[in-house]
Amino acid sequence: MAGAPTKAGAPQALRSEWLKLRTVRSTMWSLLLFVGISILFTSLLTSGSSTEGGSPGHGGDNDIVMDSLAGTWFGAIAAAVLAVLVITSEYSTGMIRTTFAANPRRRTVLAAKTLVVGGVVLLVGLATSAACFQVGQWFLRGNGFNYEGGYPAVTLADRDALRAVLGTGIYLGLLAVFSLGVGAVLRHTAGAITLVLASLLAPVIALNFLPESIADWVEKYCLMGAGLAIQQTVERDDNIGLSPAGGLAVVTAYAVIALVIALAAIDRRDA
Amino acid sequence: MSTAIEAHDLTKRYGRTVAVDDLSFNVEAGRVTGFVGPNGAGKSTTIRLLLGLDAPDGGEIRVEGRRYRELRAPLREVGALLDASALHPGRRARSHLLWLARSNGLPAGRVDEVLELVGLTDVARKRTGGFSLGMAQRLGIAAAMLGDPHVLVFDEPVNGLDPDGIRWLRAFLRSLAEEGRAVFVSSHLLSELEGIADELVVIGRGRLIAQTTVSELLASRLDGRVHVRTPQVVEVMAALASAGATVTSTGSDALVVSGLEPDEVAQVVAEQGLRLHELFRERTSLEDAFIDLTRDAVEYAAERPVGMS
Repeated sequence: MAGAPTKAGAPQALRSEWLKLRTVRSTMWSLLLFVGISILFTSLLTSGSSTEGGSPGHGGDNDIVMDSLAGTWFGAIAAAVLAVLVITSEYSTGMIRTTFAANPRRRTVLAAKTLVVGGVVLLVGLATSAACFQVGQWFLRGNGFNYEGGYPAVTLADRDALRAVLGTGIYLGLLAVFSLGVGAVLRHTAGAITLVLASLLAPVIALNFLPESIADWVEKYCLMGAGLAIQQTVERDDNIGLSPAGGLAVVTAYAVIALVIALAAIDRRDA
Repeated sequence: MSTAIEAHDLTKRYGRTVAVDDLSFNVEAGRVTGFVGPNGAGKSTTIRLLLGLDAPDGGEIRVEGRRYRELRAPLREVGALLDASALHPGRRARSHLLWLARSNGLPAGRVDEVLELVGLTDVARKRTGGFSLGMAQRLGIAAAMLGDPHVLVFDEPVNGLDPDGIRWLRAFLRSLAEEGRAVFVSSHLLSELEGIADELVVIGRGRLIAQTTVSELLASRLDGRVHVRTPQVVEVMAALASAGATVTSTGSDALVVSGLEPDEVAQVVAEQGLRLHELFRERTSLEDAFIDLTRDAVEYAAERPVGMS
């Protein structure tokens, strides 16, 4: 950047936060875990599945696109932890004070962090999602999910498959933004990770205990339900009653709300 | 000489605790100003208010006439060392300085210059998790110098430094002031600042106790008491008392005299043909003066051990 002005503005914040992210080992480890766990679990789940299953009453209607992306839910935890740590590690070490003394425009700093970690998780998430799809299809074809078994080969050239794979990457990027927002509000690593994981898992666990009318609603508007809606490519009885675009809207709302609360809080509180 | 830091009726509360209480002081360029007070006096809080990290409940504190949050490139104007151990342990020293430099658009070449300045060039590629507190302090000082600022604020910079490091730091702080910068250094031990600080801002329980120069503080606390040892206690007492001194006996052969200088005491005793075994002036150290000054403001004072009063 020739003649870069010496000031603390948005471009400087972006360059600074990008450098911070790539100069700690935990970033690389988290991303490796993210990719590795996703592919590992997709492999385990798809290599063990058989065509016997299916939704209740309708055997043979497996959603092989969605099934191949199942591993990303496990990897997502590593991505969420990475995003939480980007902000909470600064609070736990006290480095946040150095950050805010260097640039007192805290919202700019938080926005830069959001773009950097959201962008990295989006890109790695897209690659992970595509890899899971390919690995999953390979295992599934070998397990009878092929033309003879009533499952025509699916590739990324298929519109729905491509949408599910891209949508999963975008979902993971937005989940990272949500996690960062929670981290910025709570400023405490363990608390933030707990809240993010609870947001993902608690509603799904609660579904079985809720009356059907409430359960349907919770399923649609919970964080994981939104992601599953994005990954659905087959009409099944147990589908989430939400379109892929609706799922994207829900997860975007989670990310935006967390970020807005964080942006509002960060300027008002003592660092 | 211009005012670099100006605190005006600054107040900060945390819940019901008043950490900084109506505090006003000035820090001038071209000198080292010591910021002293017992632990818990509000020094670090004041520095956080100065850096815009905490918001004051009343009053304000300005740097070269502006609020910190209004600074366009803060590192170019104010260099600060807060908690030296506030580092990500997994990041290399050079990377730490590099992200800071980038945040203000400073050239990367500055990073190597400040590493050289504090003597950390050899460990630039080491992760800071393995740093001693002394090394972390040096890294913090390097960070403060990145933007070549006019105003430097160091919170307890002596902590963790070895004797060599302390000597280096003293010379370094002096040289910064001689270059015309304002140097504001906090410490809970006044002795650490003896010989470095020109000016002192003394606080206790969040309040200003004194803004003074080191020499003024010493002068104001010298009460001129003179200690005398003599085999002729009664005669010497009488002679000194008639010369206008207040004399107290503190032992079978010891007296404490106030109101006369040592040379005057010697003169009076000699004129009467009396003998002295010892004659000296009680020396008030800077530390004694400081303890005297802040005695009432110590938040957690220890009970005096029995028999020591």
